[in-house]
Amino acid sequence: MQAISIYIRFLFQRLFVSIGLIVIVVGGYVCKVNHISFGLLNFICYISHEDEKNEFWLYQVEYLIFVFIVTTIATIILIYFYKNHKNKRRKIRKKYIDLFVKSIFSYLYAETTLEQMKKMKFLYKLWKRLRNEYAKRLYLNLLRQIYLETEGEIHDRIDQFINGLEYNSFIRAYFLSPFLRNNLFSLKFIRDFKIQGYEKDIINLIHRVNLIPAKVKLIKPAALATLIQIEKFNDLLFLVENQIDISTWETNFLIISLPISCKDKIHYKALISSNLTSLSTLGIILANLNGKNEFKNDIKSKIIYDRYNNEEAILAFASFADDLNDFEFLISIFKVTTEIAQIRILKLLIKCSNVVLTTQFLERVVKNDSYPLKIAAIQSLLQLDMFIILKLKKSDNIVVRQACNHVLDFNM
Amino acid sequence: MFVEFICLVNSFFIIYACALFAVYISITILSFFEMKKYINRNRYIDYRVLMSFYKLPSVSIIAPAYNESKTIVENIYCLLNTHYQNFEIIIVNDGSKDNTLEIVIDHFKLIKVQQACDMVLDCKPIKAIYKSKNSAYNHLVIVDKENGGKADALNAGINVSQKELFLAIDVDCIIEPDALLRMVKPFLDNKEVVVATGGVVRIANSCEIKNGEIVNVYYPSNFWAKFQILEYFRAFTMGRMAWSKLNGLLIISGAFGLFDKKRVIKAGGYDKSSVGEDLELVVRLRRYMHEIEKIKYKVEFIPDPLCWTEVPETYKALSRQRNRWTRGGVDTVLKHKRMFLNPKYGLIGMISFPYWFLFEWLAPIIQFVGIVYFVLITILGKLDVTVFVLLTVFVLSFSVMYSVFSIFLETYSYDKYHNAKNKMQAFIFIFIEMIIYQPLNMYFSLSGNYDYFF
Repeated sequence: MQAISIYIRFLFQRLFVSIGLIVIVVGGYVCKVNHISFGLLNFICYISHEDEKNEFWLYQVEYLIFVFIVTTIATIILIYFYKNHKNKRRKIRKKYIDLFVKSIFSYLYAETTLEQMKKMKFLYKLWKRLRNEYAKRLYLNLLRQIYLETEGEIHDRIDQFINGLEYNSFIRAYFLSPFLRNNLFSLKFIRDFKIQGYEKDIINLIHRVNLIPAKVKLIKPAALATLIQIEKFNDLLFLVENQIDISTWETNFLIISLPISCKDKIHYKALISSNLTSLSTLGIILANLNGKNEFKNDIKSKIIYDRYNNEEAILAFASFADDLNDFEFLISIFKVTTEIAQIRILKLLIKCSNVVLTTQFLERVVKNDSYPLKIAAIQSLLQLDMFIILKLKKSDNIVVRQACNHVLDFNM
Repeated sequence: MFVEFICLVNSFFIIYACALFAVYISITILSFFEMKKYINRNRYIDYRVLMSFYKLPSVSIIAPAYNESKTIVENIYCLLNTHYQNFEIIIVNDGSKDNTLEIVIDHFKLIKVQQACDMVLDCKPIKAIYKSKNSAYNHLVIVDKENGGKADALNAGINVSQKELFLAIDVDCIIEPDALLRMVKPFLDNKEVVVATGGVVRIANSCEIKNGEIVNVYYPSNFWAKFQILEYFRAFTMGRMAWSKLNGLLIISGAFGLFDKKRVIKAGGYDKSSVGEDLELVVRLRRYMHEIEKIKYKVEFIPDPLCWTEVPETYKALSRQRNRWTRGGVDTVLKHKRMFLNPKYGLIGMISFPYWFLFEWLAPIIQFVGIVYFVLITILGKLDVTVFVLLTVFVLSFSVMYSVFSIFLETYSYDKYHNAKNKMQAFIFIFIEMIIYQPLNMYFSLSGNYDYFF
């Protein structure tokens, strides 16, 4: 029942306009045509006049001309009203913002407790008096912005005010709304004010929007970013438990939204060993970024399991590589990985203790591989053994000579 | 017998017109919903957040330049304004006969470098590669090569490029500072592989430009440019948006398109023998994905007006451009004719390709045949004036509706031409266009076909 009422609240206008349009178009056609049949059903239009002179197809052409002209006029009117509506909305917005800024700031800068209480009561009354959805959104958004951009006493006063505000039914309605904009609004509000009680709903929302392509790309990252602000969820275990698959965009979004303080709380092992590649990649990236080299072996097992599709694992493992075995392992997988990972391996090989093994390998790459790899290998050789470079510079192979010149020109 | 023949021809024209209108109406509906979805979805995205992303593909901006000495410095500054993490700008001097290269070397304090590159794509020899001594321009790479045309210059740029994606752009285009961030987004948020993205190109004639950025947008004052603005509205805000929704887009403007470099190289790069290298590349890339990789992929289109270009302002330049576009289209259709109605290529073979053939290539030819037919039956006294007037009004009313709707979509989406005078001019030119520009366009297409075949 609640869902139905919410849908009616948000969709009523559109439903009304759509039904109106259908009635006009079909009605117009029925008025023009004497007789319509759908299979066994026959409809006779009694208000139209019989006109035997014109053929039926000409009626249809006339009708279509009529529809085109009406649509053209309607579109021109729509352009006019749309522009007017935009201007009007801008003015209304300014009016509301002026009122809210004045009221909120008089509360924030109230000097005595009594005055503060008085202003707070006024703000609560103002919220209750607002009948317009748009105004309510503006009101809450303004509070949210001030809350995010301030700290200390002002920040605390907004927090104190929000705790007493009766926003719950409004936020819940927006959370359940069929419109993306409303969902996002509520998610941001929940995230920034760290409102409890929506955790289960958010996880359900994530599962639900997975089935709606139009929503998933925006709602899912916002929902994930909201969840990880809550202490219970910032170990990211919920992703594994609920098998939430994430895109590259969401991976990036999670990485930048994750509070720095929860770096040690993350459940790296569960993420890395997840059977979902995206979660495993997220775990590997986070372990790499946060320098968690205790997970080196977990990452290595991931590479062995799927060495063709694990660029991130190789990049992370290469960053953690410190003993000879690690470098030997990296050399052994060199041929089957991506170019980005290959370049990273070539650059990190200078840390290997076995210089002979490294230089031989690098020399082989310079002679046999593509230009980007040749260049990366020569750059590493430059730091290991200058004499090899001088030898390669005189190579019979023009491509090798060019690559050497390239590196020397850029580096020296 | 003769009457039956006339009936048959009449029926053909009516069926063809109705099919064309049905396709255009479908395009209108699809583009409206796709645009609405895109705006709703992207209105709340702060693209600056991408700058702090961990995993963002690196991009080479490749801009071929030929005899651009007058504007090249300003153009490079515009490209240097781009907001992105990891990118390079490759200007390919395609054997300019003026002093384009000398101006750039002098202004940006360039020195010759020994940059090695894999010549994976065929192109004319590269004479030298330059980089700037000034670290402020360390994104900039200038490639000097022998003249070989735009496709050849782009291939040379791809050979020199060291990044994962490349943005092919006309050097005289002005791009919005956040253009790359917006163009790259589909590569990040799709589960399917994205092989290319295209963006809306808008007309910069008469716009106010300061420090390589569009400051004020005005409706062009030039007579020919005024028509093209309507044409660009229809093509970009409607046509391409709808084809993108169906994942059937066959063209990404040569003035502004982002591609997956590795896949373009595997597909063979730009075809130097084609005059419509942009269309040809997208078709070949799609063919490569269907024939070789055989995985689900997408060619995306972004409705944000991110790139501004100067359009021809003279009759001669316009006729040359349209003639070239027609030849390019015909050439591509014929080169890849095996895709036509071939279910192996999915929607591209069964819908996009037939559409291109029937309604892009054949439309001006059928239009011309229709005019000749009208003259003939008038001379023979077989013209039914009532039917003729009715059908003419039918075609014109549809044409007006379609153009008006494209103006509506522009207003609804970005409203760059927001002042009322601009809108008024656009409405007036819808009517003038039908009398002057559309017949001329038909003529340009016919001459392009004639030049291609004879």
